[in-house]
Amino acid sequence: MLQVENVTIGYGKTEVVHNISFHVKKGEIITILGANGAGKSTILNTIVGLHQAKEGSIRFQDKEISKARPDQLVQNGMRLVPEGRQIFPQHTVMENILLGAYIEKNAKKIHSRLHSIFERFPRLEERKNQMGGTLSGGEQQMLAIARALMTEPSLLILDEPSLGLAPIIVGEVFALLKQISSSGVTVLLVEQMANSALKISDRAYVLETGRIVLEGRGEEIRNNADIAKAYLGNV
Amino acid sequence: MQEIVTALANGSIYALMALAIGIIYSTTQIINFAHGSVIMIGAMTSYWLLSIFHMNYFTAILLAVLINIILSMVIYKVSVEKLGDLTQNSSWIVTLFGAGIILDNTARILFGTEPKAYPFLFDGHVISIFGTKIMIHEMMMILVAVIIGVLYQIVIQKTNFGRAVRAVSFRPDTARIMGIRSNRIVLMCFAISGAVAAISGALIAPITFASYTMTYSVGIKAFAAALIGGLGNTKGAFIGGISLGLIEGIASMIVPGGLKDAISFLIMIIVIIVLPGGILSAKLFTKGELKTEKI
Amino acid sequence: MPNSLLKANSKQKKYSRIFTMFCTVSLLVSFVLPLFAGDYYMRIISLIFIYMILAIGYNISAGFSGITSFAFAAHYGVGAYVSAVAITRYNMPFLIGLLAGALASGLVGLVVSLPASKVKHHYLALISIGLLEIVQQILNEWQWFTGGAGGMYIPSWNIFNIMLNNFQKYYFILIIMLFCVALQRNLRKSRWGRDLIAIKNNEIAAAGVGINFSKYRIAGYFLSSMLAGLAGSVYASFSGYLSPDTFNFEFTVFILLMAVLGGEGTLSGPIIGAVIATFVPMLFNATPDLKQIVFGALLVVLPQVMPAGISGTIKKYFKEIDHNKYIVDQTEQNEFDIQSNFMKDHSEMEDILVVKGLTKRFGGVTAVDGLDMTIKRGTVHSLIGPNGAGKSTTVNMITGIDKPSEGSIIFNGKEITGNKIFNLTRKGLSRTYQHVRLFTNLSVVENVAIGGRLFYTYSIFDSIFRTRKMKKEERKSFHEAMEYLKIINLYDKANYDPESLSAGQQKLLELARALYMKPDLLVLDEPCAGLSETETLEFSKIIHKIRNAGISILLIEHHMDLVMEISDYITVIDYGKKIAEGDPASVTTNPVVKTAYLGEGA
Repeated sequence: MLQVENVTIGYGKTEVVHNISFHVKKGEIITILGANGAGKSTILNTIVGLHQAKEGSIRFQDKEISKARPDQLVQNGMRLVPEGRQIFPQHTVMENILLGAYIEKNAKKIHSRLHSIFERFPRLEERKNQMGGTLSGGEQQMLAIARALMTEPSLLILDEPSLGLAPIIVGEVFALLKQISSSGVTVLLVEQMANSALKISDRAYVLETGRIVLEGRGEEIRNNADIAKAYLGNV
Repeated sequence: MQEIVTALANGSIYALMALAIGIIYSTTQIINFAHGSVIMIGAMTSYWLLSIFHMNYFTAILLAVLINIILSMVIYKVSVEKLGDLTQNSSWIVTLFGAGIILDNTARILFGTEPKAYPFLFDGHVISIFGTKIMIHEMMMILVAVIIGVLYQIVIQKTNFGRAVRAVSFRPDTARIMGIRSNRIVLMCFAISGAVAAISGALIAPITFASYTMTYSVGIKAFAAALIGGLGNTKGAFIGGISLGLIEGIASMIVPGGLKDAISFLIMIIVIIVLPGGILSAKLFTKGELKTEKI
Repeated sequence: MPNSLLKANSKQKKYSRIFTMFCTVSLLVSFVLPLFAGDYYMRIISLIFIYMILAIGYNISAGFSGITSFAFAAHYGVGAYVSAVAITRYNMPFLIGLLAGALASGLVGLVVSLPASKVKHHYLALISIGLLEIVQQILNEWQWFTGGAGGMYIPSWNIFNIMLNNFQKYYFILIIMLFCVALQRNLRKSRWGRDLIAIKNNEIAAAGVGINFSKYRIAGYFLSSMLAGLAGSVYASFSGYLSPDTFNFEFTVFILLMAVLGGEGTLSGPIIGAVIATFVPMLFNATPDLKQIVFGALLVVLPQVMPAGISGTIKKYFKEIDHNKYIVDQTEQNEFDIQSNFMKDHSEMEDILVVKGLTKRFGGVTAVDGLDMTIKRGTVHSLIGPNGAGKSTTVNMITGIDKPSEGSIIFNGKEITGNKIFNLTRKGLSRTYQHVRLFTNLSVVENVAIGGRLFYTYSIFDSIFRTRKMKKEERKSFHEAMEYLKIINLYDKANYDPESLSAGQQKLLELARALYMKPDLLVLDEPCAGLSETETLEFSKIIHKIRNAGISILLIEHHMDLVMEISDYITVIDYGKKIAEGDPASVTTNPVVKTAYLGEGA
């Protein structure tokens, strides 16, 4: 579904990501693991069109998208849940969700999706008239995901959904992702919480200083001692 | 009493002008330094349509609004869009100023240097309320300003477009992830700003006379009102505009005519020194504490 | 001295040859011109000299201090009228009148720039339009003072009872202009110029090296409006007649055009700009209407197609770098080590930094929640935790960038909670940033030298007249800066543009800058994020050196190998709360830490 080939990304003269390749098949959950500064967010921002790659090709559903605009990609079914959630704090919860459906002009569709979203996230319905900024971290993450689901994406990309969340909430988020995946949505995940993410992943890639150093099935990687080492040193 | 109505009427037009500046500021964090010229073009084209083509008031202003919308979009395309990150780079100050200079001098060539008497609405008819004589035109100034203010507020708060505008003003990149074309929204804001400028220019022209020098004489008041009230919010624009109208009304009673503008500006500078965010700091659009800065 | 510090590139050598030749020729031409030019051309050239002074004034404001202002026509006008009134109405001597004009204009500049310390700098552009209009109105209306719209006449120049003829006038203006050119150059090449450029480049980093930027901005605008006033004063007596129309919007456009054409922020920009902007209008003498439109179009187009102006574009073509003469005449010195340069008497206090109950809330989210932490003198203390745990927020509160919602911070026994960052540097705290913050308009060595700005004692007059004191201090400072560059192995890139360095080198450069501030506590915010293995290794060696010199370090880092190896003590936080603390061995084996990093089931 998504093929990233020999992509190099940089800001100005400095290269952040060097010649990486990976792919995501339909229906999979894929995790890219890596410590801070490894270039994870840069890769995602490039895939969704916020940033331009210096070299290489990115193909989505067999179409070259390395030059596409973010709105075109949203239209084609790709959605990013950005790092740090980035909900709109001075919009109400309802407005945040409606903004998620900005490109959808059909009021009926919006209405029915809204209905299923609130079914899935009853907490958000309770708080639909509150300002987004007043939600807790976990609720904000739910809102960010709900907002992305409003266009019924075929590929959902999440940038560190566990960021700053308590372990119980992290568990909830990953359970939710599993559930979303089983409803037919392909999920690409960038994480540093290796264990929790790998549990739900089909395959994973490990990123270090802008290079992919390891790839394999979720379980394999999880049992690979190198991961623990990458984060915690020689334990 | 009559003076107060006049001050209020002028003030509400200043408020409209400040609102138009704020519309652009809220999404881009830039001040349109060509705004004075855009107001002037609105007044001059509508005058031209009224007096040369003998159109009726309504069609003339409507056409002037259309011309201004196109003009403002061209200004954005030519002087702003290609500059990149506007918070990092202040070239927009010079490019927008340059765009204003082009408009002013084109207007001077097209319309001449002679100030033109711009007809009042309802032929300057005066009605008497509780013994004070009030021109219907002045009442229309207040009415139109309030209608536009309320309309704008509704659009911003209740519509899909308004939500997108607020999203872009909070963080353009996050808005883009939603599928909102931030540049398109900014372009629309320039267009709306131009439309409001045309209406405000046409309404104030009967009082100031229509001339290419309106850029300075009127345009500067727009900036003053925007600064006094605080940039980028409707309430602030109205508070700023009406305070400026009142200050000016009082100043004109005490000091000789030519210096009354100077007094208004002095007050503006004092307000900014004392209250940097304007009388009403822009709460609606402030990026606020919620934006954790990446350092 | 390695040759690479000198002009290495053949293009650069060519540039400096052409540049020297060009300067000599134009200076010679300026001096001998009156001998064969007629009165008409002498007048035009004199006028260009006056415009150069004005453009230099504008350049100090817009190019160096980062304040775009439309009021320079007004400052010029204030200078002209005040000097004219002083001379005609109060019979003051010409030179006193000149000074009065410059000072009056400076004062006006001071008043309008006061709000600039509080608000975003483009507000000043708005206020400046107002000022331009106010000055216009006053000049037109205040008949008694200015003679109103009819204008006023000024008697011919008279210095010590000698009436100047046209020749003498010309040379007088030439000398003032040359003085201003030297003033601009000397300022730029002194600590004042570097400080101003630093503010324009990166406000946060500038505050980080101890610059109180609002003060500097006001001072910069004061100086530039004074120069504009000086130009106006000279113009008043030169032209012999003043009319308010001279100082209108059209003149503002002309000033902006000079700056945009020549190139803001370069030393030669104002000079080139003044010459070209004076001659361009002559092309339009037949169609004056078109002139302003073309000017406006140039203002729209030039900043987009040639942002560096003519002078900047030429420099770019020749890959010109400003070489610093203080580092060129450096002689070999004794082996330099960091330790010997930290001669501060360390106070006896064992705890260098004590943090109590530190809390920060952003809207509904609590980023840091009641954090307690103590750093002992002379240790490397690491603060670790998963992404988003609140490490950067903690550091930003300690270094005065964010204000804590609650809690207290005690540094060296003194309460520093809520202090601004530029005050903290004086107290012995310096830091690096997660995302590199260098001054891109300064050279590599200048970036380091600005770290030592706290140790300068020379005044602004020392820098204008390049006194021995100034030269001595500058030489010493740059020599030391070079030593820091040696430590980070960037010795041979001293004159480079910092953006030409690799990410790792930029991080090292920032570290050198922070070191040169000779801090008691050095805060490193993810120094190795985004670095390659070898670069990280390099970095860790240097951190070792620093620790051995006895500097306390607060380190935030994700490379755990590095953290474990180098730290004396580690604090682990998650969701803004401390979850573990102790020496590296005890932290690594703590199960809570493992879970925080790897998630459940680790």
